[in-house]
Amino acid sequence: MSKKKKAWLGTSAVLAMSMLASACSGGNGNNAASGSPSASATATSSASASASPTASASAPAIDTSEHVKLKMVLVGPKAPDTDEVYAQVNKILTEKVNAELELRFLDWNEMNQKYPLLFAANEDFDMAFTASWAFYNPTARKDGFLELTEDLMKTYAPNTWANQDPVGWDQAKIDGKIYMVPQDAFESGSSVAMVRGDLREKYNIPELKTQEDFVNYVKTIAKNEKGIVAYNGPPTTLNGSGAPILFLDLEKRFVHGSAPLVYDMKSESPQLTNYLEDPKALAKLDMMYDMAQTGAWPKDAIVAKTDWHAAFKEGKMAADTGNILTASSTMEAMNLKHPEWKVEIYDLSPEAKRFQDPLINNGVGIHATSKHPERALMVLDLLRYDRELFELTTYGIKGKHWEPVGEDRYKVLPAGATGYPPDGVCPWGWRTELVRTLDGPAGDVLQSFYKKWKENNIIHSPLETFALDDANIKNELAALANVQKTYLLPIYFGLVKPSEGIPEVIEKMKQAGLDKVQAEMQKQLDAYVASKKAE
Amino acid sequence: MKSAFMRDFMNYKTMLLMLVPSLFFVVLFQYLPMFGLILAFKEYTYGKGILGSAWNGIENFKFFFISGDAWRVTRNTVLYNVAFIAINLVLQVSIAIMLSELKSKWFKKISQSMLFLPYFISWVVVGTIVYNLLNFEHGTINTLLRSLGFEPFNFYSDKGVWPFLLVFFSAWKAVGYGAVFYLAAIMSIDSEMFEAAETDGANVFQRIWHITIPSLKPTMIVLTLLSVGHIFRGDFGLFYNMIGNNGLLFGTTDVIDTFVYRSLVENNEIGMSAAIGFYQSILCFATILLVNGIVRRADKDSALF
Amino acid sequence: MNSATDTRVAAAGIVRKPRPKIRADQWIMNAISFVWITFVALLCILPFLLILSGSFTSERAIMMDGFKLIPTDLSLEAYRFVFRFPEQILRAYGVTVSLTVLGTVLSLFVIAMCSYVLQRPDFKWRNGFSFFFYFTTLFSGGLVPLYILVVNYLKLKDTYWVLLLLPLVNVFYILVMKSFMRSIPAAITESAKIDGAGDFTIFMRLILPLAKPALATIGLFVALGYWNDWFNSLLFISDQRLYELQYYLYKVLGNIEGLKIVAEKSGRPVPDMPGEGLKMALTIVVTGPIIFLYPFIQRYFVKGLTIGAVKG
Repeated sequence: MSKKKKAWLGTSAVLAMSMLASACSGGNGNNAASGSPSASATATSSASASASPTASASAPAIDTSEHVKLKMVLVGPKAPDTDEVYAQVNKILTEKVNAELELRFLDWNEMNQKYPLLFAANEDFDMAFTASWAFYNPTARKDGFLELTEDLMKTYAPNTWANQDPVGWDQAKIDGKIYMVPQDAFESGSSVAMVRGDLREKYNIPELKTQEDFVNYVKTIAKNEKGIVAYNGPPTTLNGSGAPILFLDLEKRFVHGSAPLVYDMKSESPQLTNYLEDPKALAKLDMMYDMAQTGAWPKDAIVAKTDWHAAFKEGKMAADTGNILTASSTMEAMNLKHPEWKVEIYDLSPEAKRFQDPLINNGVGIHATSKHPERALMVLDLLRYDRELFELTTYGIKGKHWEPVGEDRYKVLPAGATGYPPDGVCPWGWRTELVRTLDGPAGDVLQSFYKKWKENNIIHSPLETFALDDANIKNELAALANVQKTYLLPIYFGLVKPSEGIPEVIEKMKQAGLDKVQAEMQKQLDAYVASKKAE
Repeated sequence: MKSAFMRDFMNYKTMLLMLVPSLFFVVLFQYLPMFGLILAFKEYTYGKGILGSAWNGIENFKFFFISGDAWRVTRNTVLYNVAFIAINLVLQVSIAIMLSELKSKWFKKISQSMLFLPYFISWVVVGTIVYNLLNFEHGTINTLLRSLGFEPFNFYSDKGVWPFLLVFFSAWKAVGYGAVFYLAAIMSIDSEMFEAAETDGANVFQRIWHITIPSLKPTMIVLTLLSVGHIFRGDFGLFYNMIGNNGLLFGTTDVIDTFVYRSLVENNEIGMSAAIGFYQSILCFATILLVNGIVRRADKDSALF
Repeated sequence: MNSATDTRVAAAGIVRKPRPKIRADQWIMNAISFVWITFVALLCILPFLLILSGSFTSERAIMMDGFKLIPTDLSLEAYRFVFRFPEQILRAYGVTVSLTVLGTVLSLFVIAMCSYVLQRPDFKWRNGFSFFFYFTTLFSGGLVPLYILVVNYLKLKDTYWVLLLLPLVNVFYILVMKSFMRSIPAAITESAKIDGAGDFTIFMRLILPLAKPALATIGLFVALGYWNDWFNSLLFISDQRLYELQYYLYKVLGNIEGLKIVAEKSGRPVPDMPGEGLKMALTIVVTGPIIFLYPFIQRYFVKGLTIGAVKG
């Protein structure tokens, strides 16, 4: 029921992106139409400082004499102190744009059921959290969100329009139209490996530099260390973003998680190939089969109900993989409790190029039938760029739930952990460069990795913003998703020999319409690349 | 004709009134939303609504059939349900009869309450417990086998044992729940019949065979017919929590509902799930018309309708 | 009690003549019944004991050693988490108990009335109506239209009514009840009719008292239906004061997942929380009614309550 949340591989990041580029390349060329050229100009110049003066400067032009109550749908549990925090938020909002927010929370284990129903019944709400993993595409395609035109944005959310990295707008485009305001902060969900330094030293294994080193470590533990699980194996859900860590260095990218079709990240005019026919990828599967045979992960890992991250933390597992954000915090927690375990974090493919996470990993959409879309956009603009509002909604009440450390770090206070967990009450939809990093060793690790990746590994490509229109291949994609889970997943877990299983997978996929999907995807990719070149 | 109808109507006036509350709720909560069935044939959008959305023929059904597995999962669904129905019937009836024969009140009370406990354990929790029992490395059963010097058995890669395990757990969960229906039916048997049998010198087994079981027949038939009405629907909670993502076992354990879940979990199209629901409904409808017809021939009043 | 002693005796291999008033066939039947039911009951209670023990075990011990019949590392953490906000769970109990009581009474009355009519042999339209009811178990329009109907047209969102009325008429129970009622001789209705009693009076005065075992059985299931309902809350209730118990517990489970996701999302360490232990504790918390309600229902499962007494 709640499998969707597993697709959540996004991480939050902190280092502000340089927004200078956006000012030049965005749609700012013809801002005369908006009637407030000064607004965007000021906004661009006031990089990370509070942009509220700009907002109030543009406010008089818009009639806000009527006090409105905006309803916003958020996901996750409602924290106990939410009402207290939002009472303060509403005071400020009333002052600035004569509006207030009323929240409605959908818990993680009910949002899959409820989110679509809210739109189906056309309930009375104005804005909703949305994301690539949280109904953005289906809702927008079903006319659930209001189209955000340049005019609308320039008039009512000028700061957003001026500051937002244009990559985000492009990613949000569905058939050329924008239906969400994406977040605007760098994140990378790249997987890293965590190992136990004490065990590594015990078996005289040098520090891990490559995937082979990792495999060697896992195999050594599996062979010699009894009573501990070496590693939990690949993820039990297979989709593009969940591809195991050992595939990172192939530098391939999926178009859709349900089909095994990939293209080269670095290519200018990418050609789709089936990675199951790529000898390099097959070698990886052989490697995993080999690992499984040496007992690198439990035989039943594919059905295991164990929380593996917890198992690693408790010392029941010797290696874990996950995104850097989780890894850094796990390391900090473990070092506090068990410093003798000497937890280490490694990037197993330090040379591999990668994309940053899509900005549409978080965002806010305006309900298509909202009675006050303008005011909703104004409020959103403030939540994103008014430092006071941003920090209130993201971290809670200063001095009670959190306190700032320097310019870009924060510390959680005891009341924050339960009353209003900082960065925990779904403020992700309006995350911008105002965001702070958690203070402490975890934050240091995180920042050093991000810094390295941004300097060496992150690449940009025109395809970064490509979004598939699945209208013509919905049936085939559903069938392919099924084939992957049925026939491919057991191969990943080493339960079926790749040389025997892969031909069957490919045959089943052909039967499920792989060729049609490939043709359709390639057609869309080519058209997209051509349109980008034309710009 | 008209007058005959009117005469009946006047005769049945009170009885019809007694039906009104049930009819009201069934029409309101079941029949009114039933127009949603058309979603199976539409490309639904929020903007246009259920009625306004464009028709798209049988487009929504295609994903289920193009993979070539439709027949296999449909067959599995039916076979599992047939097994569940048969085993549950035998087990529940026998337990109910045995309970009714026992004299010890406290034993009856306690054992009945115990039999009911599995009903409260959700399939999620059952799945966890079963995994703890059966897993290869640390499962209770394999630990036991190893300590006795036997080879451990890898349950989760042997698709042959799962049909038995699934039937077992299905029966286990329903036994106390289902037995209550039959127990109540036994309690409604006219005790004079038992006394008469006693005087005729029948022994316990003759009495059960000639009086208890025939008296249970209507209940058995109606409960079986009600299950037959769902014969094309798989118990998603059972199958999903036991088998999960383990493709190795799908050959013998995949049912329509798990298959559809796997296909649509990433991209839930309301129309597509409606389409498969419709497919299941039509097949169930045909089956129940047939089976009910047969029952009607044999015993008019035992039939559902 | 007899059967218990007998079997123990048999098991011990002591040869002793069965007591004279118990015949051999009865003795065999008792022994078989006792052994078999004990066996099945043990199969049913063992996992439950595992769950009970698991609910009192610390999350760490579950992770390290799995489930044990005796808790290895005793912990009340899971229950503390369930009862974190006592006033909320108390209110949820209140809502569910009142719904269960009210709903069961209303539902039983409506269902019994309907079933009685549907099995009356002199009611010629009974098959047509039965089919009309049964049809709804085959075809359903799905969630979307139901949601739109309840929320937009009936305006029942966030009301007690929707929780009470939606599960009120369950066709499955109507049909089972109908078959139960057939065991009440039609002669009772006929003779009362001759005496000039109306259909409704017959139902109230004669049928209802005779149908006690059936009412108790169906009542039990209706009550369990209300007790276990969480999905209607999920769909239609956002007002915390109207949460049903099971929905409240479902949300507790969701909160745990949520805390993990949030920790992952914000880069803070995942707090130590009961995950598996909590699921076990929730199972224990919802099993309450069977401990209290079932023995009460069993009063009606006694032979001889039925026709004999009335016939004379």
